[in-house]
Amino acid sequence: MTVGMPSQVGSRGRFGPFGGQYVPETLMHALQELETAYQQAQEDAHFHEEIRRLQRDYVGRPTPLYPAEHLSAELGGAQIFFKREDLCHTGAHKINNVIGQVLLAKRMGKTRVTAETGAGQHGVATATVAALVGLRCDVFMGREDIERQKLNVFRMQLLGARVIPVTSGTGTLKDAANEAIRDWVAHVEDTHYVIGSVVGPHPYPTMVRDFQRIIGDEMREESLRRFGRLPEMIVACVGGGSNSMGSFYPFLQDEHVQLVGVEAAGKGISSGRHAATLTAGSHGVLHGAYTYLLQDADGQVQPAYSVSAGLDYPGVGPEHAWLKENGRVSYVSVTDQEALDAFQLLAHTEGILPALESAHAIGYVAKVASSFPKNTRIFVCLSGRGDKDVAQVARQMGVSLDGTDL
Amino acid sequence: MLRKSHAKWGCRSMGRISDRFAQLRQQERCALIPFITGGDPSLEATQHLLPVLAQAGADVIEIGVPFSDPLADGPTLQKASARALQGGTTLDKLFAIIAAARSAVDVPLVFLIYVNMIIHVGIDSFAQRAQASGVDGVIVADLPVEESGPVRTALQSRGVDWIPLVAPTSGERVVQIAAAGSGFLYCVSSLGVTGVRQQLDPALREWVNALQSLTPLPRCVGFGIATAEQAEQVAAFADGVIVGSALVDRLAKVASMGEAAVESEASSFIRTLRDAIDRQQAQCKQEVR
Repeated sequence: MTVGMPSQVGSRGRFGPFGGQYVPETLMHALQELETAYQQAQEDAHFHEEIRRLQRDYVGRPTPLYPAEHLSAELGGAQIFFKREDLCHTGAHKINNVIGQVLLAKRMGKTRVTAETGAGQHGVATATVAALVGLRCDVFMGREDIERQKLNVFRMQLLGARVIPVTSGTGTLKDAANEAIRDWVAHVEDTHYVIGSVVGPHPYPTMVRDFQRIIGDEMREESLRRFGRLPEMIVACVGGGSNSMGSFYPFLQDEHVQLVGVEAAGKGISSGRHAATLTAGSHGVLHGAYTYLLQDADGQVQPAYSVSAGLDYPGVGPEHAWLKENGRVSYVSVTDQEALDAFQLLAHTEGILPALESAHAIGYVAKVASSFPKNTRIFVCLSGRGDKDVAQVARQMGVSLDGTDL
Repeated sequence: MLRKSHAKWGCRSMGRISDRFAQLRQQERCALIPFITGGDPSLEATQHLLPVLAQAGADVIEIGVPFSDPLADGPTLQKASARALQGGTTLDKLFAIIAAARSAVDVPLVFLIYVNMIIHVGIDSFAQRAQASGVDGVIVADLPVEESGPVRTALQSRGVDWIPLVAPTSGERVVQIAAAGSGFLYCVSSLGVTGVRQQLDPALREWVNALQSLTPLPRCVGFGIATAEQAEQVAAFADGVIVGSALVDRLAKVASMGEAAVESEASSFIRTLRDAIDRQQAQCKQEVR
């Protein structure tokens, strides 16, 4: 169903009709304070310099644009390049955003940061930068996810963070975000909530995109330098949508560059067990933004499903909702099985274990690469490394790892 | 308590709610506003509770529309919402029981709802059905005034009040919020989500008093009021006292004993609160004399 909020189009924090600030009144002051602080920080050369320094010396940027020649040869057709976000410190692109937000929190005089996490990657990144900068850190994580991701839980604890189990609702990522928002309502004075994706109320979707656009900026710069032109296509996976938004944003005006977002089709769209919000969802409000979400006939939010915990989210960033509706980005979906096949294909051909999230983007490329001529370049955002997923992949393959040191 | 200083209450208020507050003002009484989650423990129980609460002394009744992701609510109301959804409660069914209860209840009935449910059925359709079923006002937990335009206009054009929330952190926004709202002003007693508090914020009285010069709307205080003692304290400076989690908690504890037990628990708790509030007001009048 499509029921817009037409009179709100074009107002602050909107992407077409999407976005906005649908939050309890108690949070409005905090959001306005955050928006002001973010605007001021953006005009401060010192803030940018500090981010640049950490990106270079701590994260390891710029990340390589790797020509996956063996994979390209195997598939036949287009030349495939990987933007190696998996080589970032902590193993994924998540830290790009976290550095920006935690430095901002420090600037605002906050003494505590919080985060929601599903598989634990955003939680680990937040715990890491909080340790670096010297802020207290509490991470909200669904009870189910805590059981499944014990290693990441311990990792966060080693970094000095508290991991708070969330039992409300379905006990998954969306409930962890609800709980982080509830906590923020009660502790707005000393706490900054570090949202992990381009979701949530304004200014988060814009701010997180700005901190992630470094991915696309680097792709663009290197493409022009090495090839003298832009790629024909950019592919990235979409859960909340931060690595894809960061990849796409600098190319939005280059209409000859095809942009493709890949959602998780889980067991298949028709099975109802998926996380393909843009493909199969409808308009509504989740976590403070008007966007697409998975919901039932009564407007109750439905649990998402994917083999990849990072894509297992029933909402999506509001800017993606707009890019879908205005047609600039194509959104497609890839099943669990296709992603698992891509995981193994990449391991065998290139010696890289991708995160299961990123494996969805590769799964799409594996389907279409052969339909392109050899002079076509496709850039794929390899958003994270797959070490965290080894146990999950073993489970899916029916391999027992009991007694090993995972 | 309600003061006579205002010539008229909230000029944009338009129905049962403004009538009720005008009456209370005449009597110099403070409103008692209980909250129950619609469909908890069952839809029938909700329908039967409405006249019971009114009889026991409720001036306005808030009915929570259960939602899967109630991010402004604490554990008590989250669980109540989950129980109601588990029991098959839908917005359609709640509209139906409000319409059915209307003949037996003349106190104003107010929905507390999350915006996604309104958007999902369509803003105009929601407003039209609210009016048709006899809902007098709507409080939207996650719709700040900046985003409220379409919903507010749709409701108010049909004579249904849009009751806004203000928080201690609202600052100067209170003026804009109160000007847009109608019915009454829901004053959030402290930061945080709904739920019982051991103690009320000592700065609450000063804040609620200060609001009086900013708006003609009745100022009703909620979030955390759990005991007769707290209700009495708040009645000394507010125009209404809202009690939610404490009531829902009590009803949940006796739910397994059947509907009669639920109704008798609701009735005795609301009477206790009513007595405490009225005692405070009587004392106050005496002091004035």
